[in-house]
Amino acid sequence: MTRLLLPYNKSILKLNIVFSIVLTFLSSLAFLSKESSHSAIFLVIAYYAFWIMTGGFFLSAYYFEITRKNEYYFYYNLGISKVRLWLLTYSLHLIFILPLLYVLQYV
Amino acid sequence: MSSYLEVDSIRKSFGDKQVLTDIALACHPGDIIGLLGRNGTGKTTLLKIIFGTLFTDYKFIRINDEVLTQPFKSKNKIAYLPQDNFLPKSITVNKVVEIYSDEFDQKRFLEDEVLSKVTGTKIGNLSGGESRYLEVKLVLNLNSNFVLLDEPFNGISPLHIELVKNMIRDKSFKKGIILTDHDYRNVLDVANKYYLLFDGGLKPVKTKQDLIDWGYVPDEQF
Repeated sequence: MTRLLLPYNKSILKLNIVFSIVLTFLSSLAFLSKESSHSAIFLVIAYYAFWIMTGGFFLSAYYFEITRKNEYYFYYNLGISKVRLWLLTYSLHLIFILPLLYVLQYV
Repeated sequence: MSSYLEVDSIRKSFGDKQVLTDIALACHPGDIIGLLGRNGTGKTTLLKIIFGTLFTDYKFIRINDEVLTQPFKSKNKIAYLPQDNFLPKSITVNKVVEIYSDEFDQKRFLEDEVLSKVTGTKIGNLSGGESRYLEVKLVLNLNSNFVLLDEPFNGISPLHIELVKNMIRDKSFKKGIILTDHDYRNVLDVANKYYLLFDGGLKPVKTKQDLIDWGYVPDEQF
C-alpha cells in the first residue's frame, strides 16, 4: 500500500515542509519574544512539528486539491478514495515527525 | 456468471440546468459503447457519476448483482480514463508502471513501440500523445470488468490512433467499454453500440441517419 501512496505522499511532504517553515517563522515572530521556560530551539522545533501535523498538512492538501485535482484519478483507479488517501498520508507524516519529537527531549 | 454493468435513473442538474434526465444504460463484456453528444451535453458528467466520483441525488448503478454507490471503491469493478491527464508528472513511466504492477505484467506492458522508448522519462517530459497513450493503456490493462474512456484519442498522433483502437477492440473481448470522444469518426469506427446524449436523455443510434436527424452532424458529413 505504501508503494501506491508514494507519489502523493512525496508531493504533500514537499509542500508541507515549505508551508511549515513559513508558519514556524511566523509563529516564532509572534511568540519567541515572550517569556518561556523552554529554550528558543525547543520552541522552534515544537512549532515546526505542530505545523507539519496541522496547518502545513491541510494547506498542502488544499494546494494539491486546487492545482493537481486530476491526479486523484491515479489513486481512484486503484480503489483509493480521497479521504483514505488523506488518512494514510497523514499516518505516514506521523512517522516523519517521530524523529523531531525524539530530538525535542534533548533540547 | 457473465458480468454486467447496469445504470438507471441517473439525474443530474447544475443549479437550474438539468443536464441528465433519467439516464439508463447497460453494458456487457464485448460491448464498446460510443457516447456521442455536443459539448456540454453531460458526457463527462455521466461517466464520472458511473465511476462514482461525482455526486448526484438520483442514480442506480449495479455491477454483477452488486448495487454500488461509489463503484471505483470496489476492487476490479470499474476503471476510468478522465478527460485531462491524471498521471503524476514528477515520476517516470517505469515508476508509474511499477506502482500499477499488481494489475499486469510490468515487462510485457512496456514492450511496446511507443512506451519502450520512454521508460525512463518523467511523465511531465512526455509529449501529449505519449502521455495519453500510456494513460489509455494503463486504464485498459487494469483488472476491472468495465472501463470508461473519456476522450481516449485526445492528443494522440494519427499514427498511434490505430494502435489505441486495436487496444480497445482487444480488451473488449473480456471487458465492457464505454467511451466518448470529440472526434465522432473515431467513436463510430471503434464502437459497436452508439448512443447520443441529447437534451438530457440518451438516444440509441441505430444508423448514421439518426445522427443527422438529431442534428448532431450535418447531412454532408456522410
